[in-house]
Amino acid sequence: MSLEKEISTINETSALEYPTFRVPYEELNCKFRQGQKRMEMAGMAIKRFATALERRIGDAQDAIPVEKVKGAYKNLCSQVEELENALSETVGNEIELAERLQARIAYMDEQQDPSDDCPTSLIEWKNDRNRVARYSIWYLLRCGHFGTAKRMAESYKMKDIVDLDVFENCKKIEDSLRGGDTRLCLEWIELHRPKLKKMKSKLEMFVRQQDVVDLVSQKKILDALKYVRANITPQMRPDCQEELQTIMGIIGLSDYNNRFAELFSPVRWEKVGRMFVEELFLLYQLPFQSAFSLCLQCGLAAHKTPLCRRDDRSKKEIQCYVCDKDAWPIAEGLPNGHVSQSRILCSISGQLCDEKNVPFMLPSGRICGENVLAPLRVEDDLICDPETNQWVPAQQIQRLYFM
Amino acid sequence: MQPPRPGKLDRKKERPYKAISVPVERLKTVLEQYDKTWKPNMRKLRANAQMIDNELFVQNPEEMPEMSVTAQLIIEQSAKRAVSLAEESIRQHKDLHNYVSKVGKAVDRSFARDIVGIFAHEKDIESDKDCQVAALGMIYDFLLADGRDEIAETLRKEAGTLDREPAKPLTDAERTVLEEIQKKNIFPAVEWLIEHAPEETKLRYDLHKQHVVELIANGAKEEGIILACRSLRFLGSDCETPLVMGALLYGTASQEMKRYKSLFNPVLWESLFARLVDVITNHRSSLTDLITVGSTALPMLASLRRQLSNPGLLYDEELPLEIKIQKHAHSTFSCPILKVQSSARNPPMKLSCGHVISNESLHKLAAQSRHMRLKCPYCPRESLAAEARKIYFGEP
Repeated sequence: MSLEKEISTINETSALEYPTFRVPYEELNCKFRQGQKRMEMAGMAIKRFATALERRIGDAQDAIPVEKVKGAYKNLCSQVEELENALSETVGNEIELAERLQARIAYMDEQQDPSDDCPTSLIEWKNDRNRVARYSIWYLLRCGHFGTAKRMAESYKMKDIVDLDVFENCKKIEDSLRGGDTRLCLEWIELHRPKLKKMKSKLEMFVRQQDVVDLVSQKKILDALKYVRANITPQMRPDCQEELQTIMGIIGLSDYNNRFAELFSPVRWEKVGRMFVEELFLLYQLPFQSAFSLCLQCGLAAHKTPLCRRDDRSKKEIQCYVCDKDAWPIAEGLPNGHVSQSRILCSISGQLCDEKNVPFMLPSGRICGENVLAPLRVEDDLICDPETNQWVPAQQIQRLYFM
Repeated sequence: MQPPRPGKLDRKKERPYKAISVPVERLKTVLEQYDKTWKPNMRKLRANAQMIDNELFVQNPEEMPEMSVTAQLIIEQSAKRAVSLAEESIRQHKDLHNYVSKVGKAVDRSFARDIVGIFAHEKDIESDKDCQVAALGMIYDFLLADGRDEIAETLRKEAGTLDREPAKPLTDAERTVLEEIQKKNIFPAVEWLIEHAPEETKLRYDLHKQHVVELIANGAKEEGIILACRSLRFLGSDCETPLVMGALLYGTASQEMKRYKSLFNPVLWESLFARLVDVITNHRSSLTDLITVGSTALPMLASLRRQLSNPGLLYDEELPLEIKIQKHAHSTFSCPILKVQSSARNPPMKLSCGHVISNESLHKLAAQSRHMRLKCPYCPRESLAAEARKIYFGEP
């Protein structure tokens, strides 16, 4: 009993919906930090120009040349304008994200506690379908099938509920990395620098390494050295000694045949692309397994029995979800469902055998329900075996008792 | 229709949202306050500075190269004001971070983070190629069965490796049926059903019923009466007809009445669409059943796992909990003595009295006596272990 009680405290939402709220929160936090920084920059500039004006005006005893203050005041004005823009854009973004979070809370509430007095079976049908759609969209996004995910989100009216923009951006950057372009990725790193630093991420080092490799393979050794000086700041150095040495090694040896061959191969770009996606997942704290993946596997395991085998027939011919050849690669190896009560099906008709359709054992050892057998019994002691169509003595077909 | 959800009525179920919605609401309030205060302030400051700039510098003719003391004071004051307002607005914005991070903490507190290792041989269906193809295939089937054939085709093209032939395209008539039903026009559907699926009378009844309801909602009373009488009666006297007629009596007002409200739910149109898709295309998808069962069971498994010190032991062959499912495709035998499911190594055995126990139980019982004799645990009959017969679970 205590187990039941404990179980109810962790429910579907708390187990599976973390990314639904974590991702927009991360966006909110990022937008906040960016906005604060932008406003501070404008504020600092305003202060700088104000001080300059003050110095030039002095104690304002005499008239001074207009030219002396004109430029500084113009600059001040434009910085005030910049601050105004920064402020309204930042707050606008923040409110938008707060609303996005609210929309998701409202959506989830509605799913759990439908206020409508519509038949529950219909509401459940819709909720179950929407859940499948939502989890599928997440899964498609995580696998990079962005086009389908987007169309699904539109069709099921879930654009506010899933984070299309984050994944669209992710895909764009990943593709650009695979294509040998680091610019977008470096921009992204710049936006998320504080968080990446907290994660002790080495992504930037690896991306910069690619730039260095590029320069070295173009034989621009000096440019490569300058690039390292300019971009790999002393603060980054202590955490990435090894990578830094590799970079310097590349520059020093210009060696793309032997020791660093792996770094120079095109495969390396694929690897950096994958690494970027992994880091993005970490940053948004996306779980390793998606809700789709966990629920699907759990659903398959619940339906799985020791009798399940891969079945290559078409879907319409097989009854079992698990044996379906399209499900089997996932289902194989998963544990079986737990069954405490035997549930026996007639091997001729597939009907359930219970008190109303008591089970018998055919001579072959297979089970047959009374519904099938009853019409086959002609006399008291003779019965037609439905498997072989042979007449057999009735004693050979015996009643079974499942406890 | 679906297995009952555990803790459906449990108040705690709302907890995660409440825990987040409170800080989110607070954040939104302070953001809006900030917005309301500072946007006008900043606009004024900027307008003011531009006005001064305009009057002192832009419109200042070249022949006045000197700036008066008053003008200097105005400039100085304006600059000071800009500095102080900037500092204040930035400081206040920074203070809002407190509210932002409270949202983050609430999110982190309210949800389980990573659920892994729930069962043995967990698959990574994102990076494992075969698993991904299987999963995408299941999504493809789901989309087809849900009447989204165009999106399904997008997926088939995008995924590339999907092991599916393109779905049979809909005929023009079928497409019209599905397009029109989304516009709440039932007539192409009714015609199609009469011609191609005359046995679907209940669906036809429901289409007519919803049409009548729609007429009531739109206030077209007279037309509604005629149709309701004709088609509903013709298609069998379903117990829902009196309800519809009742709603007709009250007209548009019935939409707000507790008794009739359920007739007007838009989900009904969606379900009619889904039923038509099912009749027309006959696509099969297992995904909804699987995900629904999984999402019910998963929290239970996760919580159980949390309580066990060495969960690995339990999860290898069988899930540790019984999970209710609707669809049983195979026989399952659980030995009444040892409480284990049968397997190839441990098949069910019939004793001569007809009681069925597992092979392992049989041998344990028989080993206790000489000559491998055993008494049935459920009846007085004695038998020899060698007389027991193996049972096979065949399929039709």
